[in-house]
Amino acid sequence: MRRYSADGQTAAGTNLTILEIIAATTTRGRIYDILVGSDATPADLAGEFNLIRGTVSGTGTAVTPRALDPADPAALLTAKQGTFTVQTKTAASSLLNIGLNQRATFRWVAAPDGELIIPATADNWVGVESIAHGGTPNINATIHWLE
Amino acid sequence: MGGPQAQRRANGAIIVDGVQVADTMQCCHCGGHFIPVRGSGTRRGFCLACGQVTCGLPGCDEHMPFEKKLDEYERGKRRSL
Repeated sequence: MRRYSADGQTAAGTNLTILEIIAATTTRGRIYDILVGSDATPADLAGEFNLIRGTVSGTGTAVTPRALDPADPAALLTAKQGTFTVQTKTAASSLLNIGLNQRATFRWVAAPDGELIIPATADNWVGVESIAHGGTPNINATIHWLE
Repeated sequence: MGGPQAQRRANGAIIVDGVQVADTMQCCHCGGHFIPVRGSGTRRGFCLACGQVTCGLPGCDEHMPFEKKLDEYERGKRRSL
């Protein structure tokens, strides 16, 4: 399997998606590493984030995934970041709930076979969502996946 | 109530500021991860058919392996995961 990475950033808020990894119809994506942090001026602000599913990726800023092995071809899955519109999120689809102080950097790593799977269905996605936050600091997210 | 406990068969790990602070377990029916905390009062389940834990959400009580759900979803036989 090949490994890829994509990162995105946007200001925290209520139910705002930061980064989406979007399905390819030819293969399933397996997310195995997620990093969430903030490059804003340090402050004691509480935030809640979720890993959620969606069925329509909507309009965002395209991010070009990078192969972790430079010899690998371009990724089949795609990524978007930033401010999204016309998105469809799957209700009650939290795959991982994260409570995080803005000063902290969070990382989740899957054990083998514990990855979060993106179905091979067009425009389906899994992404990092800011559920609620005490402020509007810039939030940075990075996702690594296998395909 | 205690804090998160190390799990013998963890499906993931949470690392904050470079320190591993908790293990996560994966629900065998929805694929979601959760942090098991003994004494938290949060309802969790165990599927005897899968031999694995479930997240405890009512929709995950019935035996339906996530892999099977994925297959059905990709074939259009299921509306959501």
